[in-house]
Amino acid sequence: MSDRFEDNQPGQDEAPVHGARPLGAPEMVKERENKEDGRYIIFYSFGHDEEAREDG
Amino acid sequence: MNQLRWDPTLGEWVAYATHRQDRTFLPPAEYCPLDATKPGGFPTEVPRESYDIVVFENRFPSLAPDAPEPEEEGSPLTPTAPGRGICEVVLYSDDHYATLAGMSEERIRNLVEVWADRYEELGSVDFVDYVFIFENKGEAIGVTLHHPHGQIYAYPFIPPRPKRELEAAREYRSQNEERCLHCDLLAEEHEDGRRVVAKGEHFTAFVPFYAHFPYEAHVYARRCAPSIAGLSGDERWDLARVLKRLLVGYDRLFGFSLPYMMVMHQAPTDGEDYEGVAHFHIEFYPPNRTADKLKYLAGSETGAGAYIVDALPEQTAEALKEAAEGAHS
Repeated sequence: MSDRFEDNQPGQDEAPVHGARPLGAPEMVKERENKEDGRYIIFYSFGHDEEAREDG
Repeated sequence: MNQLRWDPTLGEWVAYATHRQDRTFLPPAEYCPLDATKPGGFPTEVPRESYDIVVFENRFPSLAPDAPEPEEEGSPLTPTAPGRGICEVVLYSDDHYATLAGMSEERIRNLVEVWADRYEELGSVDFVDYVFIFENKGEAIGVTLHHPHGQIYAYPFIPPRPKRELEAAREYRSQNEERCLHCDLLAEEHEDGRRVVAKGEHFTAFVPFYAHFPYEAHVYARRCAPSIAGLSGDERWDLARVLKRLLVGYDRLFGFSLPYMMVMHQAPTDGEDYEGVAHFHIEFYPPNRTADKLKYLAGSETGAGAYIVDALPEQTAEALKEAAEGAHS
């Protein structure tokens, strides 16, 4: 198992990470947490100024 | 229980995950486990009041990172192995009723960013040989939750279909002066033009000459990029735009939110070199052959592996193109 995966085992929540991105990509913030049962959950959020209306 | 058993007759692994029998099955919208958790409401999979895009480990995984050695030992002819892998759920939006087709290009663009991030992260896990990103949409496909979401299976092996495709591409390359099979196929589609549904600056959506489903469509990167992670910012934007046009075209053509399977084929993550062999693309397999008739994978397709298709790709592509262009104008 890679270090990257082992680094995120249950009980090791991470601070938000602003990921590296290619030119022209939106800013992505990645927050990793662990659920009560030990599974991880990752919240991705993006600059909302780029969010347009949804078509429905 | 996650277990793999080897089928020596087809040369492929079969995954067993008996706990999946108990997974949540088509709950009413007010009890959707993929919605955000509302104040005072029941706790869902997402412990926040709202979210943008979320990824979490599947509660009922087909493969698990800590899968134990199987109790069933098998034999030298039919060995078993731990069902080791990672299964994730990707929530596209906290809007329970949204669909990928109805989302803004910006949100789809953000989703591309998440897919690329998951490909890189899961692909870096040493037991993961293939990161398979997909979406099953609609009850006709067998979805158990309607909330807009996709899935990712990080397999400990290269699954049979991508493997066959890679072998074909490698064989073609060795016999054709190191050319990429997919680049040449795309060039033929561009030259013919009849099956092209939507053309962006960096991506093209088309019904392949050899479509296995009446309305099957492939979305190819124009450049020979091995994976979604290798796409530039401009390419990612264009992928979002072309996906949007194709998906809206599907819904306009049929008059309802069309069920489909969406799968991504790209380079395995087993440490081998796939430059010029793997060519990132997305394949859509809608089950409908008309608005009210489905294409079933019956005896010939399932038992013989030989697809019988009721419509010619040129005909379905023309209708789909017209619908997609109408949506774009």
